[in-house]
Amino acid sequence: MSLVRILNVNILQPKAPFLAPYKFEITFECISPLDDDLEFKLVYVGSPKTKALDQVLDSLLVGPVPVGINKFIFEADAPVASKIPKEDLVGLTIILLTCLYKGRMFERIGYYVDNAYTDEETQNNPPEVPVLEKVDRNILASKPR
Amino acid sequence: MRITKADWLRHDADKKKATAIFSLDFHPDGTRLATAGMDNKIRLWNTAAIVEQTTKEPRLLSTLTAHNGAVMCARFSHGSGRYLASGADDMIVLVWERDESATEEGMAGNLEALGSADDAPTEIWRPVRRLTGHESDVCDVAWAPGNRYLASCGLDNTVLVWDGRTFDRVARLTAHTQFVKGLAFDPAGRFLATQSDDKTLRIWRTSDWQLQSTVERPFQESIFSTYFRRPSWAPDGAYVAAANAANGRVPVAALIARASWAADLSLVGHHAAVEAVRFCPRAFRPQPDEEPTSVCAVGAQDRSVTVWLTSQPVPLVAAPNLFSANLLDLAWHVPANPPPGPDAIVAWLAACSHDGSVALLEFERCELGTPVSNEEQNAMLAKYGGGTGDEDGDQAMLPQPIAETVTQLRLEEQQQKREEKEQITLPVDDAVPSNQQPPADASALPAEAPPVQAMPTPVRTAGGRKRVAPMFVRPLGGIGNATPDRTPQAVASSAAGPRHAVEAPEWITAQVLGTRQSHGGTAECSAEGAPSVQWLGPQTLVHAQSISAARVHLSVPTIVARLACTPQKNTTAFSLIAYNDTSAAYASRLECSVSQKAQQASPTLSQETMTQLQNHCWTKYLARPIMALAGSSQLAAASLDDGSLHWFDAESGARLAPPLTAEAHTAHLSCRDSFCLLLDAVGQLSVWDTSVLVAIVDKVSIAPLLYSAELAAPETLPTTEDTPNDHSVSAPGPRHSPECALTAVEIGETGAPILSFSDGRVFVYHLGLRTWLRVGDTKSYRGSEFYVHAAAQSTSQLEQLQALAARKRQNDNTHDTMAPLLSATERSSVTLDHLEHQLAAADALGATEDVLRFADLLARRLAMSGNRLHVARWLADLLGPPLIEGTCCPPNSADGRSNAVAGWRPQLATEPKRLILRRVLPLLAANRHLQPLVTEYSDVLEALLTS
Repeated sequence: MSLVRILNVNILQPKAPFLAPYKFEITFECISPLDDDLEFKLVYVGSPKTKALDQVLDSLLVGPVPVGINKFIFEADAPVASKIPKEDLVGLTIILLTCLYKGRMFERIGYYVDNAYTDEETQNNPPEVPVLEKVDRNILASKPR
Repeated sequence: MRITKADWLRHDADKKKATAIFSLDFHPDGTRLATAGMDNKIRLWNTAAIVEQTTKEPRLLSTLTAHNGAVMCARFSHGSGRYLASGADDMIVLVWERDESATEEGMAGNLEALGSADDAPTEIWRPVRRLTGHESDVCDVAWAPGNRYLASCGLDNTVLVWDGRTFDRVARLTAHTQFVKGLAFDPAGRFLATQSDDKTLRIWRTSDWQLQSTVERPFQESIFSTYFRRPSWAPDGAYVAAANAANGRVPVAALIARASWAADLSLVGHHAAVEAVRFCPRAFRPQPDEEPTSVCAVGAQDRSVTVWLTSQPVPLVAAPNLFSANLLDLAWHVPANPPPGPDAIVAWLAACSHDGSVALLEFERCELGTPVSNEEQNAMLAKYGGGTGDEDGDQAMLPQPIAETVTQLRLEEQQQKREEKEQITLPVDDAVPSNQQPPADASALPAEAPPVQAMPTPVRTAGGRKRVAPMFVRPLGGIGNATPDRTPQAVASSAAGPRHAVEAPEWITAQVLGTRQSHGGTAECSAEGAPSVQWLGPQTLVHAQSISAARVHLSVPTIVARLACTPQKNTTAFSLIAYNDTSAAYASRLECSVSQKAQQASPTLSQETMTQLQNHCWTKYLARPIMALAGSSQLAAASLDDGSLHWFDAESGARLAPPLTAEAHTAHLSCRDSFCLLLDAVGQLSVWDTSVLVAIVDKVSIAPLLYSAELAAPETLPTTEDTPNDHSVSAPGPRHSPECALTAVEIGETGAPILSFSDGRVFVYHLGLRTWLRVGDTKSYRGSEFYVHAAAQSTSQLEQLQALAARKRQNDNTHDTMAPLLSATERSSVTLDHLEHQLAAADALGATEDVLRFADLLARRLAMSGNRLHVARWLADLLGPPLIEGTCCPPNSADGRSNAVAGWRPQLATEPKRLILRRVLPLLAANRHLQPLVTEYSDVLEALLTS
């Protein structure tokens, strides 16, 4: 059983420029005292083809955790675009929010992220080399997996 | 009688073979049956589906999967059945609560995630408490009547008792020398019976958790081994039935009589060891005119069940070969209002077995009779001092020992009336369901602290990793917090009377120079001769030589063209306005006018506005610009830039005294009634009573307060250095720390100054002790259950002060570190200390309302804790001389101080202690374990008050 249960994840800026940091307000419940910190990680799936291109955007230790309901804000930087294949930069991908205790994962929440050009012209004629400034990301907050 | 076995009711480990069911229990309303199995799961079944054998309704309501070992026992709490307690092989006791907030949508999501409709739960139950402490398998759990306690026992030979509200551990009973395999609470609430493989049944008192009796005889000849030995009490409390007893090699269930604890009776007939015995929780009356009789079910390893009536020597029913393996547990349910007629179902008995099946036996009225009413059942228990019954359930007052005196009953009645009144007059805000969705809860946080803003920011750890302390939102499940939620509400006094707080318009920033010395800088200052102090004031010239040597420098107000202040008194408001104009013949003009609310206006007043009438009273012309101005309904005080202080009568403008000559510039000036407080630029504080021209506080340095702020925040300030005495003013060291800014200066009712600092500390100068007392501190009691409330509510003077200080601190972006991790016992101790501190602080502040409020809270808390010594000392202190004369009164009595002269102060703040005593006695009477004390004091008090 899990002593810690994620009650709510509130994505603070689901729609933002590609390079904006990711911000989550995470509320969780803890029913027994913990010896160690919890660790939260955000992973950006760079390419669907290989796991090697997954980027850990940030990792945050949370503690000390009192018994009860707690919350905190997890802020992670945007992915490094240079490590993402050009063809995968724009389009649908996934971010994974994982929760670990003593190095073992006990919860994982995934969100679809839609990276799309903001103006119609580039939408219709996507440039060869993606123009990141014109890309907006949209985390589909209502559809966690 | 009808026997039903539902073939679908099973715990499937691998969908093929049904695994053993170790325990089962009916929900008090009879709609659910909980079964606990070897597959580590607890399943909740729809009772109606078992009885009706329908397929339409959901059969399985929920599957509870949080144990990591075979679940040995599951028991619903009494009353509303809000909780389900379970114990398992993983040494853990879990307390489950239904998550009402789990919406359709959420469940659809779960369904999707699970990918199978079979396990689709219709109810979500979540563990809300995880009780650790057993060192081996947990064999049995039991709720005390009224859910006051939860007890658990196991293969570590110990019995643990937990508080039924907070789930703190209250006792650990270790007398058994072998596995403890079952336990049960006396329905009257006085005893706990535990049964063990050491062939004893032990009876423990719930009042002090000491052993009342050890029953050995019926078990001496028992050579059998059973999974469990769960005792069961008769509904009238007269007998406790024990499993696995033997009467001359014959396996029996023993009936042990209350009080004598003699095993008078045996239920004989089973061929093999008796594994389970359970009394029906309700007595039955076979015929309307007959005495009620108790019904007892016995299950044995011979796979059969017998049902006995205490009025008959032979069993009513024997159901042989119900199972293909050992029977393990029994559970009864009596429907609340069985329909009339001889064939109406009046009771269900469920039995579970090692073969993984459950049998349900239904009994008709013609077999058992009519269940007795709740009142009658309570009346039966009353002779043993019980009788709270099930109906009171979760919200019940604690099950109490019998009231022994009329006084006790009278006090309880008083208390009840008071509570009723409070419930009517005050909105109860804890009525919200305890397990509401956290987002909703989060938004219900105090508005002045937006969640995002107050969120702690991550810090880097030594290893370079980001770490953040989460923000505590609320405790779990609403179990422990009911009391603090309600009680402050219930006794919240109205913010009556005008507040005399005079908040400084700006923070008074302070500079602290040099080391801490007992007499501040005044001793040496005369020796030093450093003249003018350019940086200090505005365009000022102060002859205060002490400034150069002083260790404290407070910023002084700048001279502005117009200063206003409006002291209020009821509907009359004086407004004092000072006009500074250096070019005029007189440097300043002080005008006083009176405004009254229109409805009270007398016709003679000329100027009229919408709501107010203004009447000019008097004007004073002064030779120098006014730097600070303060007023009250009786007094107007003005401090000029030459350091002189002028007092005028507020109504007539008559001068009360020649100008006072101050040592330094005025940093802050305030008035209350006839008191005038002056804090000068070198950190000396004086309070005078202008009506009799007496100094109440004479040049007391506030330096200690600033220094202790430094010590409290060592990371922001280096440790205090020795500043040489010739420290020149030209180098006003940048020692200013935001930590020690003074945020508010007030005068208490008795003239004692009250200072609030930006780091959340509040000090009051105690006139008797002649020193500063710290009455508010945001850090010391962070673990207290009332900690949050102190900041959130501002109905009282004390808490307003503390809240003010705390909020300022937040604005200052000095985030508190996380509340420390406290165990429940630590927390309750901190809470008690916090309340005592608050009471003493309220007393020191002279805030009578607060004294009453915290006396109430403390009394409730003490009643909950039941700590006799503590209560006795407090009561003795409240009652005073006739009682404590003979005994040695401790110098530190409960209010924190005592008068050296009489040994006893007759009042707290302005409230006589004996009246407080009269007030708290009914509260303490809530705990009948304290009744000898309460009764004694009540009687003495009445005698004293009438004489």
